[in-house]
Amino acid sequence: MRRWLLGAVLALPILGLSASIAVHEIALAGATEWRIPIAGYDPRDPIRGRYIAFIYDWQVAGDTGACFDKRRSCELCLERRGEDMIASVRHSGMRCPNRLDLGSSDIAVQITSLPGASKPRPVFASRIFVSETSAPALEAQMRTRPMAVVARLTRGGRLVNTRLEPRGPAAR
Amino acid sequence: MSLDHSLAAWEKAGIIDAAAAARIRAYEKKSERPYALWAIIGLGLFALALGLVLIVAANWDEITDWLKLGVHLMLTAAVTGPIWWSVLRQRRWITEGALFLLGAVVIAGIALHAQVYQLAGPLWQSLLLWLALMTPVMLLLGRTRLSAYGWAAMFVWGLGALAFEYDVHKGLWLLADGLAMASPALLILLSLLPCPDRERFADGLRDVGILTLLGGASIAHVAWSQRISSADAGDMAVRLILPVLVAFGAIWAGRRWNRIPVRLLYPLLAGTTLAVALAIIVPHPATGWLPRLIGVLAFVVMWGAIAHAAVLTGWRALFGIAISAIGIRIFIVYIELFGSLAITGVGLIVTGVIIIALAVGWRRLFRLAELPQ
Repeated sequence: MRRWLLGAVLALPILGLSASIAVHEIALAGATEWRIPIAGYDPRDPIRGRYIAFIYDWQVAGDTGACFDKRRSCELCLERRGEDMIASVRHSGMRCPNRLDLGSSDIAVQITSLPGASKPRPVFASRIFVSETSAPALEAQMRTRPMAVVARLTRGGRLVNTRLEPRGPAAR
Repeated sequence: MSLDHSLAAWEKAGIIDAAAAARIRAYEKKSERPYALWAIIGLGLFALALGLVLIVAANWDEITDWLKLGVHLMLTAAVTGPIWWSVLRQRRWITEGALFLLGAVVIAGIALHAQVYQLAGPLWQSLLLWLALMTPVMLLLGRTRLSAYGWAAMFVWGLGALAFEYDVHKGLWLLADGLAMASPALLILLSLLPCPDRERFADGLRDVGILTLLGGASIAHVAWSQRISSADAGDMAVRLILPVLVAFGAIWAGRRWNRIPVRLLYPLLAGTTLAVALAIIVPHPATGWLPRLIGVLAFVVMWGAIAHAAVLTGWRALFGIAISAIGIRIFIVYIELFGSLAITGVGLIVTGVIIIALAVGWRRLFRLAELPQ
Protein backbone atom coordinates (compact mmCIF):
# COMPACT_ATOMS: atom_id res chain seq x y z
CA MET A 1 0.00 0.00 0.00
CA ARG A 2 1.28 3.48 -0.85
CA ARG A 3 2.45 5.39 2.22
CA TRP A 4 0.67 8.60 1.26
CA LEU A 5 -2.66 6.75 1.03
CA LEU A 6 -2.07 4.97 4.33
CA GLY A 7 -1.20 8.30 5.97
CA ALA A 8 -4.26 9.98 4.48
CA VAL A 9 -6.79 7.39 5.71
CA LEU A 10 -5.20 7.27 9.18
CA ALA A 11 -5.20 11.08 9.41
CA LEU A 12 -8.88 11.35 8.46
CA PRO A 13 -10.35 10.45 11.91
CA ILE A 14 -7.93 12.85 13.68
CA LEU A 15 -8.58 15.69 11.22
CA GLY A 16 -12.33 15.07 11.34
CA LEU A 17 -12.48 15.21 15.14
CA SER A 18 -10.23 18.30 15.19
CA ALA A 19 -12.46 19.99 12.63
CA SER A 20 -15.50 19.17 14.80
CA ILE A 21 -13.85 20.90 17.78
CA ALA A 22 -12.93 23.93 15.64
CA VAL A 23 -16.43 24.27 14.15
CA HIS A 24 -18.14 24.19 17.55
CA GLU A 25 -15.63 26.53 19.22
CA ILE A 26 -16.05 29.08 16.40
CA ALA A 27 -19.84 28.85 16.69
CA LEU A 28 -19.69 29.46 20.45
CA ALA A 29 -17.36 32.46 20.14
CA GLY A 30 -19.38 35.64 20.79
CA ALA A 31 -22.40 33.74 22.14
CA THR A 32 -24.59 35.54 24.72
CA GLU A 33 -25.60 33.86 27.98
CA TRP A 34 -29.27 33.38 28.98
CA ARG A 35 -30.83 32.00 32.16
CA ILE A 36 -34.13 30.27 31.27
CA PRO A 37 -36.63 28.63 33.67
CA ILE A 38 -37.27 24.91 33.02
CA ALA A 39 -39.19 21.79 34.18
CA GLY A 40 -37.91 18.19 33.43
CA TYR A 41 -36.71 14.57 34.14
CA ASP A 42 -33.56 12.38 33.72
CA PRO A 43 -33.14 9.49 31.24
CA ARG A 44 -30.02 8.06 29.51
CA ASP A 45 -28.59 8.10 25.97
CA PRO A 46 -26.75 4.88 24.89
CA ILE A 47 -23.64 6.66 23.60
CA ARG A 48 -23.60 10.17 25.03
CA GLY A 49 -24.47 9.21 28.61
CA ARG A 50 -26.84 10.69 31.15
CA TYR A 51 -28.93 13.71 30.28
CA ILE A 52 -31.68 15.81 31.79
CA ALA A 53 -34.68 16.35 29.53
CA PHE A 54 -36.70 19.48 30.19
CA ILE A 55 -39.02 22.06 28.70
CA TYR A 56 -38.27 25.75 28.59
CA ASP A 57 -40.71 27.43 30.94
CA TRP A 58 -41.02 30.68 29.00
CA GLN A 59 -44.06 32.60 27.76
CA VAL A 60 -44.79 31.93 24.12
CA ALA A 61 -46.15 34.66 21.87
CA GLY A 62 -47.32 34.46 18.27
CA ASP A 63 -48.59 31.65 16.04
CA THR A 64 -46.78 28.34 16.82
CA GLY A 65 -48.38 26.50 13.88
CA ALA A 66 -45.22 26.69 11.75
CA CYS A 67 -43.24 25.04 14.56
CA PHE A 68 -45.27 21.80 14.25
CA ASP A 69 -44.69 21.49 10.51
CA LYS A 70 -41.34 19.69 10.03
CA ARG A 71 -41.15 20.94 6.45
CA ARG A 72 -41.02 24.60 7.60
CA SER A 73 -38.35 26.32 9.65
CA CYS A 74 -39.35 27.77 13.00
CA GLU A 75 -37.47 30.53 14.78
CA LEU A 76 -38.12 32.26 18.08
CA CYS A 77 -37.10 35.71 19.28
CA LEU A 78 -35.98 35.72 22.92
CA GLU A 79 -36.61 38.73 25.10
CA ARG A 80 -36.34 39.46 28.80
CA ARG A 81 -39.11 41.57 30.33
CA GLY A 82 -38.20 41.99 33.98
CA GLU A 83 -38.42 38.53 35.60
CA ASP A 84 -40.20 37.01 32.62
CA MET A 85 -38.70 35.30 29.54
CA ILE A 86 -40.70 35.79 26.34
CA ALA A 87 -40.23 33.62 23.24
CA SER A 88 -42.04 35.10 20.25
CA VAL A 89 -42.49 33.09 17.04
CA ARG A 90 -40.61 35.01 14.39
CA HIS A 91 -42.41 36.17 11.25
CA SER A 92 -41.08 37.94 8.19
CA GLY A 93 -40.23 41.59 8.76
CA MET A 94 -39.93 41.15 12.53
CA ARG A 95 -36.89 42.69 14.20
CA CYS A 96 -35.17 39.92 16.16
CA PRO A 97 -31.81 40.67 17.83
CA ASN A 98 -31.84 37.38 19.84
CA ARG A 99 -32.83 34.82 17.22
CA LEU A 100 -33.19 31.17 18.22
CA ASP A 101 -33.36 28.50 15.49
CA LEU A 102 -35.20 25.42 16.77
CA GLY A 103 -33.69 23.09 14.18
CA SER A 104 -30.01 23.80 14.87
CA SER A 105 -30.72 23.90 18.63
CA ASP A 106 -32.37 20.43 18.52
CA ILE A 107 -35.42 21.79 20.34
CA ALA A 108 -38.59 19.75 19.85
CA VAL A 109 -42.08 21.26 19.92
CA GLN A 110 -44.84 19.32 21.69
CA ILE A 111 -48.42 19.84 22.81
CA THR A 112 -48.76 19.02 26.49
CA SER A 113 -50.75 19.75 29.61
CA LEU A 114 -48.72 21.36 32.36
CA PRO A 115 -49.73 21.27 36.06
CA GLY A 116 -51.99 24.22 36.87
CA ALA A 117 -52.69 25.01 33.21
CA SER A 118 -56.33 25.19 32.08
CA LYS A 119 -55.67 23.66 28.65
CA PRO A 120 -52.86 21.97 26.68
CA ARG A 121 -50.33 24.32 25.17
CA PRO A 122 -47.26 24.05 22.93
CA VAL A 123 -44.01 23.54 24.82
CA PHE A 124 -40.39 23.54 23.69
CA ALA A 125 -38.33 20.55 24.89
CA SER A 126 -34.57 20.08 25.00
CA ARG A 127 -31.88 18.18 26.94
CA ILE A 128 -28.53 18.75 28.62
CA PHE A 129 -25.85 16.05 28.99
CA VAL A 130 -24.62 15.77 32.60
CA SER A 131 -22.07 13.65 34.39
CA GLU A 132 -23.06 10.35 35.95
CA THR A 133 -22.10 11.65 39.38
CA SER A 134 -24.14 14.85 39.22
CA ALA A 135 -27.25 13.39 37.49
CA PRO A 136 -28.97 11.99 40.65
CA ALA A 137 -28.53 15.29 42.56
CA LEU A 138 -29.81 17.33 39.64
CA GLU A 139 -32.78 15.02 39.20
CA ALA A 140 -33.63 15.42 42.89
CA GLN A 141 -33.35 19.20 42.59
CA MET A 142 -35.64 19.15 39.54
CA ARG A 143 -38.31 17.44 41.65
CA THR A 144 -38.05 19.72 44.70
CA ARG A 145 -37.32 23.24 43.50
CA PRO A 146 -37.67 25.50 40.49
CA MET A 147 -34.68 25.24 38.17
CA ALA A 148 -33.20 27.23 35.31
CA VAL A 149 -30.83 26.35 32.48
CA VAL A 150 -27.93 28.65 31.69
CA ALA A 151 -27.52 28.56 27.93
CA ARG A 152 -25.43 30.32 25.30
CA LEU A 153 -27.13 31.73 22.20
CA THR A 154 -24.73 31.80 19.24
CA ARG A 155 -24.86 34.34 16.43
CA GLY A 156 -26.13 31.53 14.19
CA GLY A 157 -29.22 31.08 16.40
CA ARG A 158 -28.17 27.86 18.14
CA LEU A 159 -29.00 27.68 21.86
CA VAL A 160 -26.35 25.63 23.69
CA ASN A 161 -27.36 24.48 27.18
CA THR A 162 -24.37 24.89 29.54
CA ARG A 163 -25.53 24.06 33.09
CA LEU A 164 -28.55 23.77 35.37
CA GLU A 165 -29.06 26.03 38.40
CA PRO A 166 -31.70 26.43 41.09
CA ARG A 167 -33.79 29.57 40.63
CA GLY A 168 -35.63 29.65 43.91
CA PRO A 169 -36.03 28.02 47.32
CA ALA A 170 -36.93 24.30 47.60
CA ALA A 171 -40.66 23.45 47.71
CA ARG A 172 -41.99 22.50 51.20
CA MET B 1 -18.30 -35.39 14.24
CA SER B 2 -14.63 -34.56 15.03
CA LEU B 3 -11.87 -35.29 12.57
CA ASP B 4 -10.42 -38.12 14.68
CA HIS B 5 -13.78 -39.86 14.91
CA SER B 6 -14.30 -39.47 11.16
CA LEU B 7 -10.84 -40.88 10.36
CA ALA B 8 -11.38 -43.82 12.72
CA ALA B 9 -14.75 -44.56 11.10
CA TRP B 10 -13.25 -44.42 7.57
CA GLU B 11 -10.33 -46.65 8.55
CA LYS B 12 -12.74 -49.17 10.03
CA ALA B 13 -14.85 -49.08 6.86
CA GLY B 14 -11.74 -49.67 4.76
CA ILE B 15 -12.05 -46.36 2.85
CA ILE B 16 -8.56 -45.20 3.92
CA ASP B 17 -5.54 -46.96 5.48
CA ALA B 18 -3.57 -45.92 8.57
CA ALA B 19 -0.91 -44.10 6.51
CA ALA B 20 -3.53 -41.97 4.75
CA ALA B 21 -5.19 -41.19 8.07
CA ALA B 22 -1.82 -40.05 9.50
CA ARG B 23 -1.17 -37.83 6.44
CA ILE B 24 -4.62 -36.25 6.78
CA ARG B 25 -4.06 -35.58 10.50
CA ALA B 26 -0.66 -34.01 9.79
CA TYR B 27 -2.07 -31.80 7.02
CA GLU B 28 -5.03 -30.60 9.13
CA LYS B 29 -2.76 -29.83 12.08
CA LYS B 30 -0.47 -27.78 9.83
CA SER B 31 -3.30 -25.67 8.42
CA GLU B 32 -5.11 -25.42 11.74
CA ARG B 33 -6.25 -21.92 12.73
CA PRO B 34 -6.60 -20.81 16.36
CA TYR B 35 -10.30 -19.95 16.08
CA ALA B 36 -10.87 -20.15 19.82
CA LEU B 37 -7.99 -17.76 20.49
CA TRP B 38 -9.24 -15.32 17.85
CA ALA B 39 -12.76 -15.47 19.25
CA ILE B 40 -11.55 -14.75 22.78
CA ILE B 41 -9.32 -11.86 21.60
CA GLY B 42 -12.27 -10.51 19.61
CA LEU B 43 -14.50 -10.63 22.71
CA GLY B 44 -11.79 -8.88 24.72
CA LEU B 45 -11.51 -6.09 22.14
CA PHE B 46 -15.30 -5.75 22.10
CA ALA B 47 -15.42 -5.42 25.90
CA LEU B 48 -12.58 -2.88 25.77
CA ALA B 49 -14.44 -0.84 23.16
CA LEU B 50 -17.66 -0.80 25.19
CA GLY B 51 -15.68 0.16 28.28
CA LEU B 52 -14.12 3.14 26.47
CA VAL B 53 -17.54 4.38 25.39
CA LEU B 54 -18.94 4.02 28.92
CA ILE B 55 -16.01 5.85 30.51
CA VAL B 56 -16.63 8.78 28.19
CA ALA B 57 -20.38 8.55 28.84
CA ALA B 58 -19.71 8.94 32.59
CA ASN B 59 -18.70 12.52 31.73
CA TRP B 60 -16.60 13.45 34.71
CA ASP B 61 -17.19 16.92 36.11
CA GLU B 62 -13.72 17.10 37.69
CA ILE B 63 -11.86 17.14 34.37
CA THR B 64 -12.00 20.28 32.25
CA ASP B 65 -13.38 20.04 28.74
CA TRP B 66 -10.12 21.07 27.08
CA LEU B 67 -8.20 18.37 28.95
CA LYS B 68 -10.72 15.72 27.95
CA LEU B 69 -10.67 16.81 24.30
CA GLY B 70 -6.85 17.05 24.20
CA VAL B 71 -6.27 13.67 25.79
CA HIS B 72 -8.76 12.08 23.47
CA LEU B 73 -7.10 13.54 20.34
CA MET B 74 -3.73 12.29 21.57
CA LEU B 75 -5.19 8.84 22.22
CA THR B 76 -6.64 8.78 18.69
CA ALA B 77 -3.25 9.69 17.22
CA ALA B 78 -1.54 7.09 19.42
CA VAL B 79 -3.79 4.28 18.12
CA THR B 80 -2.96 5.13 14.49
CA GLY B 81 0.76 4.51 15.21
CA PRO B 82 0.48 0.71 15.59
CA ILE B 83 -1.75 0.59 12.50
CA TRP B 84 0.91 2.37 10.42
CA TRP B 85 3.66 0.08 11.73
CA SER B 86 1.74 -3.17 11.30
CA VAL B 87 0.40 -2.38 7.81
CA LEU B 88 3.90 -1.68 6.46
CA ARG B 89 5.14 -4.95 8.04
CA GLN B 90 2.01 -6.90 6.99
CA ARG B 91 1.22 -7.95 10.55
CA ARG B 92 -2.46 -8.70 9.94
CA TRP B 93 -3.78 -9.36 13.44
CA ILE B 94 -2.10 -6.35 15.02
CA THR B 95 -3.66 -4.21 12.28
CA GLU B 96 -7.08 -5.75 12.92
CA GLY B 97 -6.92 -5.24 16.68
CA ALA B 98 -5.70 -1.67 16.32
CA LEU B 99 -8.41 -0.90 13.70
CA PHE B 100 -11.07 -2.14 16.09
CA LEU B 101 -9.61 0.05 18.86
CA LEU B 102 -9.47 3.06 16.53
CA GLY B 103 -13.17 2.59 15.74
CA ALA B 104 -13.99 2.48 19.45
CA VAL B 105 -11.85 5.54 20.20
CA VAL B 106 -13.49 7.54 17.39
CA ILE B 107 -17.07 6.74 18.50
CA ALA B 108 -16.04 7.64 22.07
CA GLY B 109 -14.67 10.92 20.70
CA ILE B 110 -17.91 11.71 18.90
CA ALA B 111 -19.77 11.05 22.15
CA LEU B 112 -17.32 13.29 24.02
CA HIS B 113 -17.90 16.16 21.56
CA ALA B 114 -21.65 15.73 22.03
CA GLN B 115 -21.26 16.07 25.80
CA VAL B 116 -18.85 19.03 25.69
CA TYR B 117 -20.79 21.01 23.07
CA GLN B 118 -24.25 19.71 24.11
CA LEU B 119 -25.03 18.26 20.67
CA ALA B 120 -28.47 16.83 21.39
CA GLY B 121 -29.33 15.87 17.81
CA PRO B 122 -30.61 12.44 16.71
CA LEU B 123 -28.34 9.41 17.11
CA TRP B 124 -27.98 8.82 13.37
CA GLN B 125 -25.91 12.00 13.04
CA SER B 126 -23.26 10.57 15.39
CA LEU B 127 -23.32 7.22 13.60
CA LEU B 128 -23.03 8.74 10.12
CA LEU B 129 -20.14 10.95 11.29
CA TRP B 130 -18.38 7.80 12.51
CA LEU B 131 -18.97 6.19 9.11
CA ALA B 132 -17.58 9.25 7.31
CA LEU B 133 -14.39 9.20 9.42
CA MET B 134 -13.83 5.44 9.62
CA THR B 135 -15.07 3.99 6.31
CA PRO B 136 -11.93 4.76 4.23
CA VAL B 137 -9.54 3.27 6.81
CA MET B 138 -11.73 0.20 7.47
CA LEU B 139 -12.41 -0.62 3.82
CA LEU B 140 -8.80 -0.07 2.74
CA LEU B 141 -7.02 -1.75 5.67
CA GLY B 142 -9.50 -4.33 7.00
CA ARG B 143 -8.45 -7.91 6.28
CA THR B 144 -10.53 -10.24 8.48
CA ARG B 145 -14.08 -10.82 9.62
CA LEU B 146 -13.42 -8.88 12.85
CA SER B 147 -13.14 -5.46 11.20
CA ALA B 148 -15.74 -6.45 8.56
CA TYR B 149 -18.37 -7.28 11.19
CA GLY B 150 -17.59 -4.09 13.13
CA TRP B 151 -17.83 -1.75 10.15
CA ALA B 152 -20.83 -3.53 8.58
CA ALA B 153 -22.79 -3.45 11.85
CA MET B 154 -22.21 0.33 12.19
CA PHE B 155 -23.15 0.77 8.50
CA VAL B 156 -26.50 -0.98 8.92
CA TRP B 157 -27.16 0.64 12.33
CA GLY B 158 -26.35 4.15 11.10
CA LEU B 159 -28.55 3.99 8.00
CA GLY B 160 -31.30 2.20 9.94
CA ALA B 161 -31.27 4.90 12.63
CA LEU B 162 -31.61 7.52 9.89
CA ALA B 163 -34.63 5.75 8.40
CA PHE B 164 -36.39 5.21 11.73
CA GLU B 165 -35.77 8.67 13.15
CA TYR B 166 -38.80 10.54 11.86
CA ASP B 167 -42.48 9.60 11.76
CA VAL B 168 -43.21 11.24 8.42
CA HIS B 169 -40.84 11.07 5.51
CA LYS B 170 -41.46 12.91 2.30
CA GLY B 171 -39.42 14.13 -0.65
CA LEU B 172 -35.70 13.39 -0.43
CA TRP B 173 -36.18 11.59 2.92
CA LEU B 174 -37.82 8.76 0.95
CA LEU B 175 -34.52 8.21 -0.86
CA ALA B 176 -32.71 8.23 2.50
CA ASP B 177 -35.12 5.49 3.63
CA GLY B 178 -34.32 3.68 0.41
CA LEU B 179 -30.60 3.89 1.13
CA ALA B 180 -31.21 2.25 4.51
CA MET B 181 -33.29 -0.48 2.84
CA ALA B 182 -30.50 -1.00 0.29
CA SER B 183 -27.74 -1.30 2.92
CA PRO B 184 -27.77 -5.15 3.14
CA ALA B 185 -27.55 -5.48 -0.64
CA LEU B 186 -24.80 -2.81 -0.66
CA LEU B 187 -22.76 -4.95 1.74
CA ILE B 188 -23.22 -7.96 -0.53
CA LEU B 189 -22.23 -5.85 -3.57
CA LEU B 190 -19.06 -4.68 -1.80
CA SER B 191 -18.20 -8.27 -0.86
CA LEU B 192 -18.44 -9.36 -4.51
CA LEU B 193 -15.88 -6.83 -5.78
CA PRO B 194 -12.44 -8.31 -6.51
CA CYS B 195 -9.89 -7.48 -3.78
CA PRO B 196 -6.84 -9.74 -3.55
CA ASP B 197 -5.74 -10.69 -0.02
CA ARG B 198 -9.06 -9.43 1.44
CA GLU B 199 -11.26 -12.47 0.98
CA ARG B 200 -12.02 -12.88 4.68
CA PHE B 201 -12.99 -9.22 5.05
CA ALA B 202 -15.28 -9.65 2.04
CA ASP B 203 -16.73 -12.81 3.60
CA GLY B 204 -17.57 -10.80 6.73
CA LEU B 205 -19.38 -8.13 4.70
CA ARG B 206 -21.25 -10.86 2.83
CA ASP B 207 -22.30 -12.59 6.06
CA VAL B 208 -23.76 -9.41 7.57
CA GLY B 209 -25.35 -8.47 4.24
CA ILE B 210 -27.10 -11.82 3.80
CA LEU B 211 -28.22 -11.94 7.44
CA THR B 212 -29.76 -8.44 7.36
CA LEU B 213 -31.18 -8.91 3.84
CA LEU B 214 -33.04 -12.09 4.73
CA GLY B 215 -34.07 -10.78 8.15
CA GLY B 216 -35.32 -7.50 6.72
CA ALA B 217 -37.16 -9.20 3.84
CA SER B 218 -38.87 -11.57 6.30
CA ILE B 219 -39.95 -8.70 8.57
CA ALA B 220 -41.24 -6.74 5.55
CA HIS B 221 -43.92 -9.42 5.05
CA VAL B 222 -45.69 -7.96 8.09
CA ALA B 223 -46.89 -5.32 5.62
CA TRP B 224 -49.42 -7.86 4.30
CA SER B 225 -51.31 -7.54 7.60
CA GLN B 226 -51.27 -3.70 7.44
CA ARG B 227 -53.30 -1.34 5.26
CA ILE B 228 -51.35 -0.03 2.28
CA SER B 229 -53.16 2.82 0.56
CA SER B 230 -52.38 4.06 -2.94
CA ALA B 231 -50.51 7.04 -1.45
CA ASP B 232 -48.47 4.72 0.80
CA ALA B 233 -47.71 2.49 -2.16
CA GLY B 234 -46.45 5.48 -4.14
CA ASP B 235 -44.07 6.50 -1.34
CA MET B 236 -42.86 2.92 -1.00
CA ALA B 237 -42.17 2.73 -4.73
CA VAL B 238 -39.87 5.75 -4.43
CA ARG B 239 -38.14 4.13 -1.45
CA LEU B 240 -37.53 0.98 -3.51
CA ILE B 241 -35.61 2.76 -6.29
CA LEU B 242 -32.21 2.46 -4.59
CA PRO B 243 -32.70 -1.13 -3.29
CA VAL B 244 -33.66 -2.30 -6.78
CA LEU B 245 -30.67 -0.57 -8.40
CA VAL B 246 -28.27 -1.96 -5.79
CA ALA B 247 -29.73 -5.47 -6.16
CA PHE B 248 -29.17 -5.31 -9.93
CA GLY B 249 -25.64 -4.07 -9.32
CA ALA B 250 -24.93 -6.90 -6.90
CA ILE B 251 -26.27 -9.50 -9.35
CA TRP B 252 -24.06 -8.07 -12.10
CA ALA B 253 -21.01 -8.11 -9.79
CA GLY B 254 -21.82 -11.67 -8.70
CA ARG B 255 -22.04 -12.90 -12.30
CA ARG B 256 -18.85 -11.01 -13.20
CA TRP B 257 -16.62 -12.23 -10.35
CA ASN B 258 -18.32 -15.46 -9.14
CA ARG B 259 -17.78 -15.00 -5.41
CA ILE B 260 -21.33 -16.23 -4.71
CA PRO B 261 -22.74 -19.13 -6.79
CA VAL B 262 -24.85 -17.68 -9.61
CA ARG B 263 -27.72 -20.07 -8.76
CA LEU B 264 -27.97 -18.43 -5.35
CA LEU B 265 -27.65 -14.83 -6.59
CA TYR B 266 -31.11 -14.55 -8.13
CA PRO B 267 -33.25 -15.92 -5.27
CA LEU B 268 -31.09 -14.11 -2.70
CA LEU B 269 -31.10 -10.67 -4.33
CA ALA B 270 -33.88 -10.57 -6.92
CA GLY B 271 -36.23 -12.89 -5.03
CA THR B 272 -36.08 -10.95 -1.75
CA THR B 273 -36.40 -7.57 -3.50
CA LEU B 274 -39.43 -8.79 -5.48
CA ALA B 275 -41.09 -10.25 -2.38
CA VAL B 276 -40.58 -7.00 -0.42
CA ALA B 277 -41.83 -4.95 -3.38
CA LEU B 278 -45.04 -7.00 -3.60
CA ALA B 279 -45.66 -6.50 0.12
CA ILE B 280 -45.25 -2.73 0.15
CA ILE B 281 -46.19 -1.34 -3.27
CA VAL B 282 -49.39 -3.30 -3.91
CA PRO B 283 -52.30 -1.45 -2.22
CA HIS B 284 -54.30 -3.75 0.06
CA PRO B 285 -56.60 -3.51 3.10
CA ALA B 286 -55.59 -4.50 6.64
CA THR B 287 -58.54 -6.85 7.13
CA GLY B 288 -59.54 -9.96 5.19
CA TRP B 289 -57.89 -13.32 4.67
CA LEU B 290 -56.80 -12.80 1.03
CA PRO B 291 -53.91 -10.36 1.62
CA ARG B 292 -52.62 -12.55 4.47
CA LEU B 293 -52.84 -15.66 2.34
CA ILE B 294 -50.93 -13.94 -0.47
CA GLY B 295 -48.36 -12.79 2.11
CA VAL B 296 -47.87 -16.36 3.35
CA LEU B 297 -47.49 -17.70 -0.17
CA ALA B 298 -45.00 -14.96 -1.10
CA PHE B 299 -42.98 -15.70 2.05
CA VAL B 300 -42.91 -19.44 1.42
CA VAL B 301 -42.00 -19.00 -2.27
CA MET B 302 -39.19 -16.56 -1.37
CA TRP B 303 -37.65 -18.85 1.22
CA GLY B 304 -38.42 -21.94 -0.84
CA ALA B 305 -36.44 -20.54 -3.76
CA ILE B 306 -33.53 -19.80 -1.40
CA ALA B 307 -33.74 -23.33 0.06
CA HIS B 308 -33.70 -24.85 -3.44
CA ALA B 309 -30.68 -22.73 -4.45
CA ALA B 310 -28.91 -23.65 -1.20
CA VAL B 311 -29.41 -27.35 -1.98
CA LEU B 312 -27.97 -26.94 -5.46
CA THR B 313 -24.95 -24.91 -4.29
CA GLY B 314 -24.12 -26.76 -1.07
CA TRP B 315 -24.86 -23.93 1.39
CA ARG B 316 -26.09 -26.24 4.14
CA ALA B 317 -26.49 -23.63 6.86
CA LEU B 318 -28.58 -21.41 4.58
CA PHE B 319 -30.76 -24.37 3.65
CA GLY B 320 -31.40 -25.11 7.32
CA ILE B 321 -32.29 -21.45 8.01
CA ALA B 322 -34.65 -21.37 5.02
CA ILE B 323 -36.49 -24.53 6.11
CA SER B 324 -36.78 -23.19 9.67
CA ALA B 325 -38.12 -19.86 8.42
CA ILE B 326 -40.83 -21.59 6.38
CA GLY B 327 -41.74 -23.75 9.35
CA ILE B 328 -42.02 -20.78 11.68
CA ARG B 329 -44.19 -18.94 9.16
CA ILE B 330 -46.50 -21.95 8.93
CA PHE B 331 -46.74 -21.84 12.73
CA ILE B 332 -47.63 -18.16 12.67
CA VAL B 333 -50.33 -18.79 10.04
CA TYR B 334 -52.30 -20.82 12.54
CA ILE B 335 -52.07 -18.09 15.14
CA GLU B 336 -53.18 -15.48 12.61
CA LEU B 337 -56.01 -17.21 10.78
CA PHE B 338 -57.63 -19.36 13.48
CA GLY B 339 -58.16 -17.61 16.75
CA SER B 340 -59.94 -20.21 18.93
CA LEU B 341 -57.91 -22.26 21.43
CA ALA B 342 -59.08 -25.64 20.17
CA ILE B 343 -58.44 -24.96 16.54
CA THR B 344 -55.10 -23.29 17.34
CA GLY B 345 -54.15 -26.38 19.34
CA VAL B 346 -54.94 -28.69 16.44
CA GLY B 347 -53.02 -26.35 14.17
CA LEU B 348 -49.98 -26.43 16.44
CA ILE B 349 -49.98 -30.24 16.46
CA VAL B 350 -50.14 -30.32 12.69
CA THR B 351 -47.43 -27.66 12.45
CA GLY B 352 -45.19 -29.59 14.82
CA VAL B 353 -45.50 -32.70 12.70
CA ILE B 354 -44.70 -30.65 9.58
CA ILE B 355 -41.60 -29.08 11.17
CA ILE B 356 -40.28 -32.49 12.29
CA ALA B 357 -40.93 -33.92 8.84
CA LEU B 358 -39.06 -30.98 7.29
CA ALA B 359 -36.08 -31.50 9.63
CA VAL B 360 -35.91 -35.24 8.79
CA GLY B 361 -36.47 -34.56 5.13
CA TRP B 362 -33.58 -32.05 5.12
CA ARG B 363 -30.96 -34.70 5.60
CA ARG B 364 -32.52 -37.06 3.06
CA LEU B 365 -32.81 -34.28 0.53
CA PHE B 366 -29.09 -33.47 0.83
CA ARG B 367 -28.19 -37.12 0.25
CA LEU B 368 -30.51 -37.33 -2.75
CA ALA B 369 -29.00 -34.17 -4.26
CA GLU B 370 -25.45 -35.67 -3.89
CA LEU B 371 -23.94 -32.35 -2.94
CA PRO B 372 -20.28 -31.57 -3.82
CA GLN B 373 -17.87 -31.34 -0.84
